[in-house]
Amino acid sequence: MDERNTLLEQIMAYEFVLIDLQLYLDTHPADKNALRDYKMALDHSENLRRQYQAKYGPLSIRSLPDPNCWQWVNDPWPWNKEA
Amino acid sequence: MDNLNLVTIYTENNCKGEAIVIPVMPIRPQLARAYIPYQLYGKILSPQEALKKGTVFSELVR
Amino acid sequence: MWFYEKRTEYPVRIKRPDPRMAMNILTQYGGPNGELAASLRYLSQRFSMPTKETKAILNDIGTEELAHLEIIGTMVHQLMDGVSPEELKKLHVDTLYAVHGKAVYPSDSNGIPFTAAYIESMQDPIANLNEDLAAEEKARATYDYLIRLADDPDVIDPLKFLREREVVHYQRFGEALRLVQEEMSRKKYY
Repeated sequence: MDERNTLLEQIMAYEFVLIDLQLYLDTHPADKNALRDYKMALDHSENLRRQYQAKYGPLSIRSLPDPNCWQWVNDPWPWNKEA
Repeated sequence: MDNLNLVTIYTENNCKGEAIVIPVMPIRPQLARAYIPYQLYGKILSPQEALKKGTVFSELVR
Repeated sequence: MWFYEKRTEYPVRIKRPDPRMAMNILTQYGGPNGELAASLRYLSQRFSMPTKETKAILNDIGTEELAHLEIIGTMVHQLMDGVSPEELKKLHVDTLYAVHGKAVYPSDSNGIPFTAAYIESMQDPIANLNEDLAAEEKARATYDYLIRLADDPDVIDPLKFLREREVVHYQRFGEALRLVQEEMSRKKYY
């Protein structure tokens, strides 16, 4: 459970960088520095998501880690304390 | 290209077309208008610190 | 369209129930300066934005506000978890329980249901963006009040995160306003 939470928090952190840079880039679409940092965070987050989804199930419907089971319904859901 | 105190905005898709430059603050501000300074790219925090603080931009932490 | 990510934007793990705090935080779910108002306001106004950058920023901030709505709902849910009706009676926070049980319902802290009267969406993008700036400040101030009322770090941390997001949104709406003003003055001469 703790390893899952640690991995999930890393994903939250890198994807938060994407969210905050997305808003910045929306008003600064030609900013090369922001685009460079966005690409770095994107590569990191894709790697982390692959690790997480393989072990703990999908984070979105764009992933089907187990083709024999619809893990999407699995507990915990994000509002549960164990999440 | 982003200049010292200017931000480039392209009028067409894909960063093409005519480029407008937006200064951090307008050169000739008009009456009865609100102006917020345009942010320039500054110091970025690490992802973990950014999440904790609520932004990647150290100068936007209030 | 929207896809769902099966996680919250910021971690919410509240270990100690606190129904009074739950009722206070509810204002950011269905209240006048809350996240539901914010998301509906921006997602409605985005149709009237004149340029690609301003459409994007209204769209994307509106989307993030839905994620914030989820955080607030999660906080209320966890703060009420395991609380008995007797405890609610003792703390005098049983009036909403009488109607909804311990469920999360879109109202303010006094149980007044959400209304679209909290928002405006006009064809005039300058009016819209000025409203958005005000909305972000009001939300930020509300989080200031809630943070002062809280004493649990598991509660204060997500509230501080949400508060800082309002500051960042204010800056982006400020930039959007600059872009719209620039667009208006360009269009005048053509």
